[in-house]
Amino acid sequence: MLAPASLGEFEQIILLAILRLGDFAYAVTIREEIAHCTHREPARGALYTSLDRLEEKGLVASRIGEPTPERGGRAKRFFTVTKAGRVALVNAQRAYQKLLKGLDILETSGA
Amino acid sequence: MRNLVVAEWLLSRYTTKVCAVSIIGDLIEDRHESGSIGFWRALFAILWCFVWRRTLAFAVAVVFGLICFDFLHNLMYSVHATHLPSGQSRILLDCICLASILLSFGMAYTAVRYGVKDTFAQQVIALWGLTSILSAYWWMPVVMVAVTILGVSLMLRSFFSEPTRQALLAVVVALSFAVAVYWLACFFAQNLAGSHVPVFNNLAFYVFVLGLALQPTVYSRVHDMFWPSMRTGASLS
Repeated sequence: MLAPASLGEFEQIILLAILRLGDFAYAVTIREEIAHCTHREPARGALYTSLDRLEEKGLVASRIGEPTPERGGRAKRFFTVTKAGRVALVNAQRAYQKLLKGLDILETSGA
Repeated sequence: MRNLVVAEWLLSRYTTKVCAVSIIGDLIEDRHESGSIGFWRALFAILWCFVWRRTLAFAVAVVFGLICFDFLHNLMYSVHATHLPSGQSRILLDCICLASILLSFGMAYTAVRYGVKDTFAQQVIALWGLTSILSAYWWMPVVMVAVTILGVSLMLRSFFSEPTRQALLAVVVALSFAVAVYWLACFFAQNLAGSHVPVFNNLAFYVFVLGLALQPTVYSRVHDMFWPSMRTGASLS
């Protein structure tokens, strides 16, 4: 339906957060992980629409967990990165690495 | 509890029931920190993210479609009125002009809603372009030949690839429904107007415009019908 997947910055961040969380990646924990690592709290709406877009592209897969009482008996929707998602993420990161090669901005930057 | 049912119902208008339930669960989990106002604020922010693109697409499609309708209608029945063909050619030209008008709603809607990389949007854009050129320059033989060649090559190209073949079929289905909706709007408008021209009867005019305004919805439904996996969270249902 769509052209080969290309990843935006936010999509890469989401995929990395899902990989970091392993089996516990659902919207709440993904959002917390992103906020913890990037010090930026993503908007919930943007996160849900991005997750859906990644699923449409076949880069993540989702499954429904068991209902839990602290969520009013509602189940969590867990996400995992698919093989295509890993490939797209690696390609995007390699492109960053290539662009960074020869530059010393990471060493000289005070941040 | 009733509020949560309302929230779930609201969300399930724009995503699947399963996704709506899980999103509400996420918000309940967060509610301990943000409270009731935070819950509803977050819910409406999520709803806005789901809705804004289709709302924008609908508005653009209606405005663009009405402009195209006005332009082609004036061109055909005012500018070219004195030298329009007669008989079968006239019927064919009227059909092409109607297809162009109805496709203009779909063209604007699908381009904004699904993006130009979507094969359905690409087919609608291509057919809209061909029918529009033919409607505007039907009296130039070179244009007629060029459009015919382009149309035939588009058809042939579509038949050799599964996604484009499916997209072409979807466009044919969408156009059939669009014509049916348009015909119904004309039928009701004529009945309401009685012996008058529908434009001079307010109610009849609004019924007719409503028929045109429903056109983007037709394309949206057909897209969902042919590509159910593109619906939010559809893989879970």
